[in-house]
Amino acid sequence: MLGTMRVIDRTGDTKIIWDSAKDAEVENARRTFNDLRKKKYNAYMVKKDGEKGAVITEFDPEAEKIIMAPQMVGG
Amino acid sequence: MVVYGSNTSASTWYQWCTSDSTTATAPTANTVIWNGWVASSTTVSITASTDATWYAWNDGVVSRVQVIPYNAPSTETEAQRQARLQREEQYRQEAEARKKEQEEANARANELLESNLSDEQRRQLREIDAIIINLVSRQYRIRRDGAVHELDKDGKPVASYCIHPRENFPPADIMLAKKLMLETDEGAFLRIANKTPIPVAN
Repeated sequence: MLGTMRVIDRTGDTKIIWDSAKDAEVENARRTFNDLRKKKYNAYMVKKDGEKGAVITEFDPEAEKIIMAPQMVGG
Repeated sequence: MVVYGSNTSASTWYQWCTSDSTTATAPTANTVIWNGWVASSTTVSITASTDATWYAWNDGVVSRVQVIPYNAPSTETEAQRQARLQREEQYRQEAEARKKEQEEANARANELLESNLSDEQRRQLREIDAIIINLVSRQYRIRRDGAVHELDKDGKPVASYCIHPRENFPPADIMLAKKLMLETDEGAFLRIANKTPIPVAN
């Protein structure tokens, strides 16, 4: 199964795709996930068409779609 | 500066230009001293500590004075000129490249945002450039300009919430980040955002 991680950044977003059956791709996606979490990015597992997603704190290789959003601060 | 006077005598003018001991005083709208200068060769002693004399000159003697800006001749060599033109062209190309990058970033962010909206939210985005988030206890409106408002049951804003990422991102990305945060962890959103109540008009 193919999973997609969209990382919000200055270019709009960077897309990382992995095949849950391929260890190297899963490991690459997991490493990216963990690196961003260390930078205090919030991770959301989302569904299609705007349905409410869920916060995740661990990388799930079976997730179809993950969005990594930057930390927010009060203005 | 080119100055035309009605008198050929320039004794006072020369004295003014060559001596730093000459001073001038004149009320703002009084051109008597200037008229005296150009109409008479009599030496005029005047004192000024501000530019009032200059204003007086120009206010009252438009018909006598034509001030032409002095454009100093260029001291740029041809090689320097070519180098300057090259730099300017480089700056222009860099600015265009930055603008193109920004447009592409905005397009990607818009696509990501829209792919995470309901049909109704996509319609709201087209019509009001904002999306409405309906939670159990509250309704929020997230605008593309960054504003987040809590809405009452009639859709009127009752509070404003200021919250944003630490760095700059395309506006659509920030909208999406706020939407996700509100929908999944409203408590964290309310703890972090600075809230400003909006008085309800009577």
